[in-house]
Amino acid sequence: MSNELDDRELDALLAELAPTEEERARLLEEHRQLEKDLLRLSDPLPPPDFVGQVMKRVAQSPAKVSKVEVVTAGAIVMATVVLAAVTLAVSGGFAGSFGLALAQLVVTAREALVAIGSGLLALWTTAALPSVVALSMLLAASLVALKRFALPANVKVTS
Amino acid sequence: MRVDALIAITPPLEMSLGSLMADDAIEQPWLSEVRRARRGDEQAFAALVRAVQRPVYGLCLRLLRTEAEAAEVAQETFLRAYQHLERYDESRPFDLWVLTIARNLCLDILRRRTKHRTEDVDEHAQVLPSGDASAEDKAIARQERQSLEEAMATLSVDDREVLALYYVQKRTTKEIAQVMNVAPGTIMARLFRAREKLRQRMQPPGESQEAKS
Repeated sequence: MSNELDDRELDALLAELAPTEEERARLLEEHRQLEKDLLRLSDPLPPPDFVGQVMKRVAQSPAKVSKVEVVTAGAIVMATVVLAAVTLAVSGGFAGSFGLALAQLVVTAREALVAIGSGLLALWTTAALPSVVALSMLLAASLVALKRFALPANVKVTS
Repeated sequence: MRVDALIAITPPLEMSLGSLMADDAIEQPWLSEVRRARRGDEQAFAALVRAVQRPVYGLCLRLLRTEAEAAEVAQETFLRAYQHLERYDESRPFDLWVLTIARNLCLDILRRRTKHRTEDVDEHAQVLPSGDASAEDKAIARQERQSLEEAMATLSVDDREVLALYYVQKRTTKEIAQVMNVAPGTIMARLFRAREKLRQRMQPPGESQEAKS
């Protein structure tokens, strides 16, 4: 079908370009000659370092990830998640005890925080000045100690 | 005279070009390299690049008409081919697949180019060398070949492409249709139109006006 269309199109083109037999013959001869010349043309060679440049870019390109690898990795992740969920559901006792322990930890931590806060408040109300002095001395001693630790790095070593 | 006479220009050419022009005899000479490259063998891919670099670069140069751009796009073509090697259909010739990628990249660039960019024929004539320094090529007058290249350079992208694929790269109409993504039956008409435009450009100014009148 497309070939018929092609033929008709060519026929029309030829009739338009060369209405008489003589003109057609001349036109066809010129086309034939042109074809001969065109067939003698060839593609130019790429630059000498072309393959090297391509391979350099290939080496720098991000690693290829095939569809199979993506599907495999996805399947492994899915299987792990499903397995973990199933294990948790099957071992119901463990899940219960874990929750209980977590709740106890939260309660204990809250109690500990309240106790520490009360202790600090009591210390501040009864002996604020000694506490500040003691804390200041502790801070100063710590800074001196740190300085002493840091000093050896700056010492110039001579033989 | 019917159109058969016109079409009769090409069949002897196809026959004389032997297996290159045989539509049905599709060979896959690079299949083992493609498979090795898919497994990450870069040497196999380098062999593929070496095998098809010339037609790919040649097509890019004929479409884009500057050496630097053609080399860049040809490199990008091979990079994309490497990155998408998994998508390559083994029933299709590898070189045609790569040529299709190159063509699409070139057309993207041509679309992006500014409309009023002037076409420098002289530059193109210098850029496109005459190819092999074989005995056959040497026999052709350099001047004649240059004027042919210059005339080709003034044609539209579509015309340059179809002429380059058919005559320079000796592709069959079926292969050209695959690369250009058109019906194979339209290629002969496209070729004729392109050849006719080229013939008119090749004629001296006075002669072409005479022919019109």
